[in-house]
Amino acid sequence: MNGVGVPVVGVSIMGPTGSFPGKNELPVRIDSGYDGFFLISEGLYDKLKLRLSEMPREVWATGKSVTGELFALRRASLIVQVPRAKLSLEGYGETFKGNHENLLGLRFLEVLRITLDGPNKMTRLL
Amino acid sequence: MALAQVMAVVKGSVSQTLEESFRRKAMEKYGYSKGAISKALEKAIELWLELETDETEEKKANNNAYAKLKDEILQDYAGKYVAIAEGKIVASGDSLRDVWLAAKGKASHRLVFKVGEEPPRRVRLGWRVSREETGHTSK
Repeated sequence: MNGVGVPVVGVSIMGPTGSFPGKNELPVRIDSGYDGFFLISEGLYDKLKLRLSEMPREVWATGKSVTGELFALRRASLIVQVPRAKLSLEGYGETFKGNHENLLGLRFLEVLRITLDGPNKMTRLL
Repeated sequence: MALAQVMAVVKGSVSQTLEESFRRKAMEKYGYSKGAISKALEKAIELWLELETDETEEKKANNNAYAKLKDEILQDYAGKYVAIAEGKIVASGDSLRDVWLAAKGKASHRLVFKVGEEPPRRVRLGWRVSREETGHTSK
């Protein structure tokens, strides 16, 4: 955006009925302003059939944007694979009605060592 | 020309404690003005509807079963993944993949979760998040 590179990690997401995007990687933006593991777009949440295999409603959450808007989040367990790092991480994805963003958050970063190489526009997994 | 939205009145009773907390929070958020309570009430109803609109009997049964079995699950399956379908535990295991496989075809909806792992209930969503109006998308 505006000629500025954004830090992304190429992932493959596995749900109960299969993975996306198959053998390729989906570049997902890293966002340290997001507290969770994986904020997943509503479309992808449905594509992976996560609605059929969710976490109990008791553990769903409320999300708050920087403008103070509240969102009812639904959650499902999923597996995020980082093919280039040969990593497979069990975690959870969450979404809300009308969400079109895919973001990797602080919970995801907790388990990785990443360096951002700005001049080379690279996200390096150590 | 924008059309004026028709407003409606909702009447009901809640506990005094809840009413006081609600009023306090509404004033904190929207200011000490006349419309603060209405704005907060509208937001609360919107959030509730978002959660309730796709609730099927099957989902309800599975969530009720979870609430009922929660203590037993915590005691017997700590650290494991568990699947609940048709109101009962149908699979458990050490890996999510195994539990997905074991619970496959058991029902159209199931709860799958890691016992003892409860992600935070309040999440900061960051700068990028906003809602894209897409209409009703619940299934």
